[in-house]
Amino acid sequence: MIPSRRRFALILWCLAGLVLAAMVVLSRVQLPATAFGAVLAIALLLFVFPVVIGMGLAGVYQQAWLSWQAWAVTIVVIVLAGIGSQGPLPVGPFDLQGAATLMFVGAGAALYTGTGIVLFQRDIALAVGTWASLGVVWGYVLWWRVGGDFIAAMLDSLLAPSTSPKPIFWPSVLIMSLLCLTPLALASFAWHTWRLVARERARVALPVAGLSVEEEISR
Amino acid sequence: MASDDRELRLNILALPNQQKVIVVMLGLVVFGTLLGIGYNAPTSLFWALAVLLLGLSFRQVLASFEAEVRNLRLRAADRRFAPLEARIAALSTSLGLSPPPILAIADEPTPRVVATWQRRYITVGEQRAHELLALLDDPQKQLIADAVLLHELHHLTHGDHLWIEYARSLLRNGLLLILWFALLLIGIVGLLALVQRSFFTYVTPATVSVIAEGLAPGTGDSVVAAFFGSVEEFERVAAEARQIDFTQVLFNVIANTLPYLLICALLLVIYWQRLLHLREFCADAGAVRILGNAEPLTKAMMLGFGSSEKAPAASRGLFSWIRTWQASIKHRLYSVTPGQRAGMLRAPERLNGPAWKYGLTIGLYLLGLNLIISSTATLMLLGDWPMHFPLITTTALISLYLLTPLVLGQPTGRPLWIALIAALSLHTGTIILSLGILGGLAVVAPNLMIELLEREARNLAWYTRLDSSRIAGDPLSIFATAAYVNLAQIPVVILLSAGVLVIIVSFARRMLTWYRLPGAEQKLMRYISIMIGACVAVVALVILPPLTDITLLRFAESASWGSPFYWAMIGLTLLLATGLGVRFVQLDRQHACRCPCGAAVTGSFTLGKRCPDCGEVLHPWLGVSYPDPATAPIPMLEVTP
Repeated sequence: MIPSRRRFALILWCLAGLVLAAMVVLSRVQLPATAFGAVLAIALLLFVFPVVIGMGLAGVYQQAWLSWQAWAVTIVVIVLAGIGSQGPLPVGPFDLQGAATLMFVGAGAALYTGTGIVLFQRDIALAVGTWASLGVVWGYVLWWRVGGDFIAAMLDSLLAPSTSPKPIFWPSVLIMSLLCLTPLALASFAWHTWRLVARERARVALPVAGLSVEEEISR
Repeated sequence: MASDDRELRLNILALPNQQKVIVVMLGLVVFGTLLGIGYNAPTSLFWALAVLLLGLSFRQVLASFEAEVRNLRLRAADRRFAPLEARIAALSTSLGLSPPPILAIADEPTPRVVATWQRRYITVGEQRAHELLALLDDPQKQLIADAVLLHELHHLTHGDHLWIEYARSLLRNGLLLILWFALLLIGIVGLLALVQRSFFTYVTPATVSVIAEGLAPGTGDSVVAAFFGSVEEFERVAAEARQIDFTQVLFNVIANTLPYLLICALLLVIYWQRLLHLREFCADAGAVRILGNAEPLTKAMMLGFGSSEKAPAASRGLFSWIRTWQASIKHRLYSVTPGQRAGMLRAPERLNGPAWKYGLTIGLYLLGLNLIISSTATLMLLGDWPMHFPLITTTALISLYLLTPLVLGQPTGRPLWIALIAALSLHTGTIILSLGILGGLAVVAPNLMIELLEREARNLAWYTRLDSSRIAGDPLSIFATAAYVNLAQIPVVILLSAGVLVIIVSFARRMLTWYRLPGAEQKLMRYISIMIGACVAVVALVILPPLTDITLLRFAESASWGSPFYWAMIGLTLLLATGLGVRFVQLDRQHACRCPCGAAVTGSFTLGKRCPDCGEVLHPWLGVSYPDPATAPIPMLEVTP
């Protein structure tokens, strides 16, 4: 990692810590009802920061996305943060649930950026797009078989939100993931196709050690 | 080496390119099926799939090249290998290959070709490249290096890198695309089946109105109107949805995709191995033809320049064991041993194998097609023969097979019948087995038989617009109809196919005596291929349609007799056949049974036949002479580069 990148990464990590601290502080401040607009603005900002930080960190550590460990860690963080954001404790401290929500948003943004990076580094958009769509459809089938009737649960959560255990969360994540992934996969596929044709027309082989075969020969 | 040691052998490169034939066959199956279903289907989904598959398979050729360059860690050959590059350029020029391929150093030691339309590389491991340099340095051993390079260059002149890579891309993409499509459809249908009842129970106009009112008071009616149109409309759609038989839909999806998956997998296993073996044998034949000697190539193989005897070494990474296992299976299935290659050089006429084996390979291909386009029940329900395509394919492929004995002057009757019976035996066996099951069900469980046929009828009705009411009737009479339409075709197909083959063989035998044909090396096999195509077209378009109507006793009711398209098709085919026939007679008068020197030559052509007058070998391009690689002395085996 070059020094400027390391500095940038350090700044992002510090920023992430600050946002979490700000969230903890804000959660303990009793704001008057008249300050609803300010609370809303701060809450929105709190969601913008994790997105920016997640995307920034994913970009800084872009080489890490080529290893399975980075994916495993991010997915574990997303799952844990997702569970935490749903309030696993009956009476939990608000800051724990809030921190988990922010981490969920940040890790989600990082994962999305990482997916984009890998999709533009590797020509795997077709495989990812096709198998992801399959995963979503079969995910819903399995969800229905295991978790029961989610249409009834969804209506229940809309008609009686106070008693509903928020059952529509995971199905929404599935469909949202597919909706977000599709344009990325399509763009990556189109870009790689254009690149393949352009390289063929220009008679260029893949660069090895920074140079193509022709370039090395012409030296 | 004394010239009298040389033996005249069949030049397999002079015969029609078997690799291209196989790739065309594969393309016919994959695209023909999609387009065939798409032609009658009420949706353009299958056309879209065919176009998608075409585009993806071409794209995959380019993507595979890039992946191969990356996996082999291809790098430019430096100045140390300049003599090797110069030799490649010189040999390429002699083969008319321009521009010459570029030498690249790879992690894999065995020399190979990595190429696309515009980019062509001969790759070799660094150690092997040094060994080739050492061989080139020694005038006595230079031919060994030439044999290795010529073998690789022949892959390029033969177009192996494109034809075979395209076939692989097509089968792989076809398999994955349809697998994905099938699993997605099954998942969606399964989900719809689960959701259907719940959706129409809970998501009613009243519920939606309550939710909308809760979110934004006063919007209930407009949201309901936007979602459902009206309450009556909702009730109508709900009633229609409740009537959908999702089991039947699921059956349709599986019945329309599973055979396709099976055939792609089957073709991949059978023909991929055949294609890879043919690729190596043809490249060997090309190299030996240029060198006029098989000895350097066999020595190169003994020095390890051919395909490796060992499976690839274990790769690194998380799933390395899967990759190692996969590589080992592939190696066992597809690699060609030096022994097999030397055997083929010794007896090139064995390229297509024995007649029964060749016939069985065609039989498996036909069986796969049968899985897709028909079944015993389909036959009866559609009231037509799906044997047209098997008959045409069998006739064309066996004709190509018989060219080898024809050129060698061997009898063709026995291989013709063996290949024909082997090719049609699997299909015939399937028909008899299916009829046995149908007959058994008609007696033991008639209701089950009717139910199965009705399911099949509904499945077919989707893309053939078949009237499924035709299924009604007594199970035994239905079985009798099915038995007749299935069994009646068998003798007709075998006899018709044999008859056409005899005609094709007679024409080809005569055409092989066109010794005076100018440019015979380039033209004769093309003319023979055109003749085979014309005979098959006449059978398919002129003979088979009326013969089907006559045998199925529907001569009077057949709609095709009143169709101008039908008569135009027959007229055009006959016109074309007449034109070709006239041309055949003209060429035959000018060139048959006469040596280029003008002397008359009697009897059929046999490889190595000479003119009785001038003593020149007739059609010398059909043969290639070199000493037997097994008995040739090996004075240079002590080579240790």
